[in-house]
Amino acid sequence: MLSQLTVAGLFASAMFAIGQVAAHDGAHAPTAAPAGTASTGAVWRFTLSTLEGDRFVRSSDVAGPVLINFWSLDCPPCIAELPRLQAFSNTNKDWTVLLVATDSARDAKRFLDNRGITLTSLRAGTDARALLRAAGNPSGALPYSRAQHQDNPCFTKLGELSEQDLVKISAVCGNSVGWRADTP
Amino acid sequence: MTSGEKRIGDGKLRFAFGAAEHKQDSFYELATYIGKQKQYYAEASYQFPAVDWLVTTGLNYRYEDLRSNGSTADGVVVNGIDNYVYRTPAFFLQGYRAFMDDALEVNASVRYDKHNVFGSIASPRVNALYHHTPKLSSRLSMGTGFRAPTSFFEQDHGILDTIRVIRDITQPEKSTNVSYALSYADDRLAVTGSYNFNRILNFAILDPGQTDAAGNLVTLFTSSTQPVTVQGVDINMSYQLLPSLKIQAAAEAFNYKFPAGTLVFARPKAKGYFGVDYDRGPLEMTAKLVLTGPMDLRKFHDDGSGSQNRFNFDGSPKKDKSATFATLDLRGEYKFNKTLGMYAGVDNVFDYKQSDKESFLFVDGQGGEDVTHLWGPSRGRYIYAGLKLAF
Repeated sequence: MLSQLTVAGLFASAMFAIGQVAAHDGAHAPTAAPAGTASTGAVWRFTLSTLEGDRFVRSSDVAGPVLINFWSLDCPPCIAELPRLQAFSNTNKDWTVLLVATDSARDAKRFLDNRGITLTSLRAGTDARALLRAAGNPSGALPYSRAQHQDNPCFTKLGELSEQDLVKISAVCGNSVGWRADTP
Repeated sequence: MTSGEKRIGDGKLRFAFGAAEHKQDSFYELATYIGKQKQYYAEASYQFPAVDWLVTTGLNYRYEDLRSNGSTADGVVVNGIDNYVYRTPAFFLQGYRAFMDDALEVNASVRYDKHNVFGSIASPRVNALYHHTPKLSSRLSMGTGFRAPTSFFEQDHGILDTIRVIRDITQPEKSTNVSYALSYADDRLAVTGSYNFNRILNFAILDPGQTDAAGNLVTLFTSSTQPVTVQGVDINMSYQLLPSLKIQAAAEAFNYKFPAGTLVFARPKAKGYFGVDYDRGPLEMTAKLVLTGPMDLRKFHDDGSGSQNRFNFDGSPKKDKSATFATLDLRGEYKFNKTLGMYAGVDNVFDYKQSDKESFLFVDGQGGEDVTHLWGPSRGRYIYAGLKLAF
């Protein structure tokens, strides 16, 4: 048994070393910015398919500022902020608002259709947790929002977005006149 | 089962209670079995932050009580020969912490069980997750566990056909597990390679072919003196080829080391998988191909003599190695609207059946017959269709 575990240990060590070599820039996971702050964190480029499966949406396809919101069906604050995000998108035409569902595409689409949410909604790729880390959320908690312009982050928040947050996002990142707090 | 939580200070207090009662009324050929089992479970735990750790500690209590009666195939009435009462209070402690700007996550735990039959058992475990980059991670897990076996769960066909069970078992099954995985995941590609090691000590064995001093057929419930060890390596890949089309491929290989008579059913040394998933709008389609490598039937069916001692009804010996075979399953589903959908599929498209290559019936060295020479699919091509209603 000792020799078997020794071989196993050597194998695991070799794989770990490969992982370290592959991470040639030596970068650790980017630290998530404190909630609701302007951020100068890592660049994040993405290619994710829509819930309908009809096309890929790439970060490079989006010309202006983009707000990406990660949500889940079993996350009450995620559900609560969806109407605010819809209203923000309806009012701020120069912004692109994208929802990223961490549930199955079918369940997420059914839920959004029932709630009248028409925002472009994306699947979370092959690994939702890895996607969240790459987007600047190492804890993987939800809801999580990230605003960026040409792949560079300008705002991140772990937690429910308030009306004040959306005003701040617009001021920090966007070119629009901002989102009025009295918009439902 | 019911549970509840309450915030106390910075922490969370949780209670859980569960109760279950099972009744079984079975027969197999001419033997009958009636069993009643009660199970109760209670747990109290408190989770709180301590410096940089998230700590969970608690107590639980588990109670199991089985009573049975029945009759053997010969009509002999038997009462309570597999009765048992297990009472297991336990204490557990778990801590979680992230280091190096959340690049390293560590979860360590230990539980201490005091079993009324098998005594005190400590089960430590540690899990570590290290993110080389946001897309590349290593996961290491090591720990031990145990199982308190009962003759009820080891028996053939789910009922006893014996006049007496001789309990020669004083130790629980104890497992040692080590696993390591290296994973890469980006928006479209995910690949994971892993190594797994499992060793079980005191593997429980129920041998219905023993005789007592008077020559009566009895069942011996005992433990293996040698460990059962399974090692495996595997690699899994998933790629989003198109927005609506995902392909998956996987391969796994195993090494088994065990004394004769402990692992009754054969297992392959290697398996391969290939799958395609299409999901666009109302239409979903899947295809899955499974390739099963040969199994060392002589090793798994060894009766202690170094050979299977299994024969076909014409007297020819059973094969020592099974054939390599492939199965293909297809399925499609279409949603007409929010309420109505239909589905259809074909399992085992190639119609591969073990019985076309080698019968699952056999005669052993003592002339006894059985139906458990199993290594391949027993059901051939299967076509199905249906409607789905959602409200």
